[in-house]
Amino acid sequence: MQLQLEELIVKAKQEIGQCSNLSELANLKAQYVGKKSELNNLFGKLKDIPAEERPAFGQAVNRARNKLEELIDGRETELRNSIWNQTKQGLDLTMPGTAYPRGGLHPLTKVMREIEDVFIGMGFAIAEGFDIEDEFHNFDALNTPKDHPSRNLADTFYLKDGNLLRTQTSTVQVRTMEKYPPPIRIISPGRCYRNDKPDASHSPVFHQVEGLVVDEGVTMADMKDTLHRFAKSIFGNDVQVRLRPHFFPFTEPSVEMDMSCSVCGGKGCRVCKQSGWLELCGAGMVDPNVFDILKIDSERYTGYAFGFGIDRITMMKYNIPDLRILYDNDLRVLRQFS
Amino acid sequence: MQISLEWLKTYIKLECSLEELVRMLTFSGIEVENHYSYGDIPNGVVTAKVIESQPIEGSDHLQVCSVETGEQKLQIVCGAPNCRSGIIAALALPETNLKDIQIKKTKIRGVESHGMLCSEKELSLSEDHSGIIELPADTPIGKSLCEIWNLPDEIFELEITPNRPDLLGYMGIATDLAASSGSKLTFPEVNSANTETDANTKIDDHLSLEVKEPTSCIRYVARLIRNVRIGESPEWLKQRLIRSGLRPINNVVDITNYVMLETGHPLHAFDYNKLPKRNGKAEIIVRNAELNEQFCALDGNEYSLSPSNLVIADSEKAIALAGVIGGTNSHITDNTVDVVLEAACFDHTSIRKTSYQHKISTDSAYRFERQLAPETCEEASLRAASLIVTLAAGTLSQGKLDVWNNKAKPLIIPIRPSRFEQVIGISLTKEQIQNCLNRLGLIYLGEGCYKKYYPNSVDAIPRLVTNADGVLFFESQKNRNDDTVNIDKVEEALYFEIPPKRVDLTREIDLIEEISRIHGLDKINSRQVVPNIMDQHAFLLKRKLADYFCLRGFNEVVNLSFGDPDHFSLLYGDNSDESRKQIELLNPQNRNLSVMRTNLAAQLLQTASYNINRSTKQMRIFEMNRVFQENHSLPKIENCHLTLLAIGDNQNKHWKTSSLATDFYDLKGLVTDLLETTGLVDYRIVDYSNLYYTEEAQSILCEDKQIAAFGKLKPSVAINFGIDSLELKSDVWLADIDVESLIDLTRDKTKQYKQVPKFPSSERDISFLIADNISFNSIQSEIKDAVGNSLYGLALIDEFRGKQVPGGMRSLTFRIVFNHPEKTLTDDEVDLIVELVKNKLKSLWDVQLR
Repeated sequence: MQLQLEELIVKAKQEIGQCSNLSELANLKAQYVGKKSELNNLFGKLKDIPAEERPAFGQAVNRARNKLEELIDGRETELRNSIWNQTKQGLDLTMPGTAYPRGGLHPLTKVMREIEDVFIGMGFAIAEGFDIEDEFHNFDALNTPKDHPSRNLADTFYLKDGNLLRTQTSTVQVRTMEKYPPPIRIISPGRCYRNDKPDASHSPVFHQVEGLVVDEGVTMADMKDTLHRFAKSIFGNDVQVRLRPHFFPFTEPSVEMDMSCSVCGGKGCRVCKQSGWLELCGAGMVDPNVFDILKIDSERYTGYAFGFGIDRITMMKYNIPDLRILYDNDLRVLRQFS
Repeated sequence: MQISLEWLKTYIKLECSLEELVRMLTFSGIEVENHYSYGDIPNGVVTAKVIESQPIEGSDHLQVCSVETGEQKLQIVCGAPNCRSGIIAALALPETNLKDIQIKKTKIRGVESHGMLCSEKELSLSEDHSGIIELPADTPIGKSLCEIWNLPDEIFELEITPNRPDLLGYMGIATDLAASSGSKLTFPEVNSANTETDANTKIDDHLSLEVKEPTSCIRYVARLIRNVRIGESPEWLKQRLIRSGLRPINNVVDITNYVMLETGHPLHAFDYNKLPKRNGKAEIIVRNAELNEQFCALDGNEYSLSPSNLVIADSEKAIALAGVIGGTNSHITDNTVDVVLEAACFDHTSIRKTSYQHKISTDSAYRFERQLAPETCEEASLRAASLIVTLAAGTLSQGKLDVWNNKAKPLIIPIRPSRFEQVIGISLTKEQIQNCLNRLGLIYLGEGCYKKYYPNSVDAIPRLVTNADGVLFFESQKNRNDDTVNIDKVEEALYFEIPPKRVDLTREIDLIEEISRIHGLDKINSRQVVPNIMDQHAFLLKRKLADYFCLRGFNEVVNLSFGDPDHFSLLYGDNSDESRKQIELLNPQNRNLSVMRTNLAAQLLQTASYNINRSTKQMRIFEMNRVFQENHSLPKIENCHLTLLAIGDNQNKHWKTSSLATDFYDLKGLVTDLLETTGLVDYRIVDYSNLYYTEEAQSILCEDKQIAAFGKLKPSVAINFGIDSLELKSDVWLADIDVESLIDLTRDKTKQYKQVPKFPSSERDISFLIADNISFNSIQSEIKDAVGNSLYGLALIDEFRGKQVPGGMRSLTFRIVFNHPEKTLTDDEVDLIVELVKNKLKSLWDVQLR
């Protein structure tokens, strides 16, 4: 019996050693230790063996089985290792990785989105309006005097039918206040048009974000914080801001907000003309006249409005010296922002 | 907590529908987890008296009985061990439908049976099938069981939030329901006067009480009831316990449980005669356990206690784990004669710790853990005592033992109507506030001026005083600097005394919550903080479109909104319909900026030309922006479009990938893939010719709206924009997407989960040569058709023309994935389908299978 098992192992050892691929090995495994193997048959004979010999017999068979499994597993590891070694290629690891096509948003869109997200984070909704507007929404409702020079053909594009291209996205504020009662908390990003000849800092088509907050108890202090937080989000936490008195027809008091120069950090440089400050936006408390025109109770509600040019901020942020670069769409430039 | 509607109705008049009741509970903050009908027993089940019973010959358990229902005598065969003459049972008459059986006249072992005597299980009342139901001897016979037992009932499973221990009993629930519904309450009247007492025995002569731990045991009330007759509880009481999820044990224990369910305050009863006496007196001592003190609890376990466990002890040993579980050494048994009734209030943290430490959860611990009021002890004790006197024939000894240390004064809280409005957003009158709170049992003390007070400060409750004008205010608290309250300036407030049960009401804001709940949260009109201005879907979809093309290698460009009318005619030819849509400027800066653009393509072509002139000959660019059309009045048509342009290879040359020239299928793949990521599925693709090269352009329609078009630009148009495709060795590819339409078509459409196949799939590839003029579309639809409902996926994985393929032919390879919804397809079955497909193709066209 013992002899029979030893012979089996010797035979198996030889066959396993000669086996050269994994599928052949799987067959051998079935043959030697599988369900229908000789060894398994021996287990079946256990009941024919006298009771006192059973433990010894069982142990012997188990030992043989363990030995066979060890041989098979060992050979499997050898075979796998040799296959793996063969498939190793000896790569030049310094070669560049696969080039996946990558495009990108236009710098103006990137900045626009960043601004939208900052304001969405502060609870603002995004409102959209139309590019083509009438004089009422672009001028009258914004308290612009009838003879104000901004209404001139030299400043504003008109259509042949008398309508005009909005000169600021404040038109959206007006349309929002016409349609919705306070409280209002919106920004309106979009295109604006002014009859400026294209140069390093002007374009007849440009982009603006305007904001409007109307509610009970809204103050200039709220506005200052909101705009400061906005500036910090875009230009970094160290940015300082200051308000300067200014004039806009639709806000009273009106201010311009400056931020510390993003290039020199306020020390004074060529970009900020040594002042240390850069103009960021125009803002102010909504003029009660505007509320009155739009039939909003100007005693109950106060509000602030602000607006800034995306083009200017994009130039400041990416240090682009000439506005026209943004509209040339030279792919050598655009791909820098991919 | 499980409650029975019938029982609840004994305290409160509820005439509303079940749905209305569920709604009322839900909106007063009591969540109804489940409710179901209980004991919907047919009227054919009646009470009947077993007059005589005889064993049936040849059966070891069956008996033949004569049963009387008042009107008639019936012969019934019954196999229950407890069936005997004299009992009153529940009889299901013939033609009665029970849950599992229909009762019929039948013969059992040759003996006629005219109905069935029922067990609780047979009536779906419980799982008890050990014997038939036995009703009390005084039950009238011939009545329907429903009538006798007040059935059917509705059982509610309620979730009581942890802050509301006052709702852990029927009376609490009824009180809250009454507050929100305005229904009338009727509670059992309990006072010592209407319970007969035994003038001859005084409790003091028989029992003494010592509370050694006044912090853990806030109050302990003991009463002594002598000469009780232990037995079963009356049927109504048992029914109420069962329907509330408790098992009846004996009348005294049942009464303690009953009163706990009623008042929410757990009670315990001890067997007085098991307590050792000293000088003829038993002792109740409330103390901490000794270290490792052993205690055999009623759950059958022995616990080893520690000094943090509060116990009720007699002079020798612990007889109960206070507030958690009783002991086997003192509980009520059939032999009990005299009963000590405990109604106590224990500190909730102490109970929680003990219950957690020994992992014992009982109805009692559950309630004490949530902090009960010591005030309820007395009413619960009296109620239980009077029930024991009535139902167990005991006599109540005179007096009670009552230790109540640190008795707190009732809490007084001011509430400002102005503050309510400030927090909730609606204004209520003083009367409305009073009404809400009165209904909850708060006592209105009067109007005053508001002053905040601090329930957790050293002298917790400030004194309420009245000034010369009769205005209430809190006298200033010590150690605070707000003594100088100018009554003229402070706000008006209503002062309320809080019922002791409402341990959760300690601050003004708690009262505000109660008022808002009782007044009704549905009566709060929502206030719009920000108008619904933003179109989130449009906003996000536009971003998604731009991002999609960026990730596919496209660069966004931005052009002015002004167009050149000459470019327009280059694209559209002399199409006057199109040109009439143009909007002209009154004061353009020059002719090539004199109209509002009607398309984005012209400027994309200019951009391409600009870049080609600067040696960028491979490009993938897009613009997403508004285009404009005349509309005679405002608003003009201002629609957002996304137009893309591709010239040259579809990616940069790279050592690893063989680069490919952009072609029609690139564009088609991009556009269809994009549409699918937006969730649009039901679109059609049709051939298209407009500004694009007619042989290689298609458009996509959805709901008969053109949402996209793509194809090759006519080289003759391209050259007008300075792009020479011959010189460039590349065509110009354009695609346009009507973003506005896509926004509309994808609004409110969310992809829905589909179950993945239950059975494994198998796949087969079939290849064949077929004439060029037979379109993929027609081949595909024939294959789909032939495979039928086993089709899970179908893809064209190869097209080949070459040396081995005769001219005018191409070789196509389709991969078909098979999956049957109901079974695993065998190889043979799949092969059979493939054969079917092949035969179909052969029969239709001249195909050569490969």
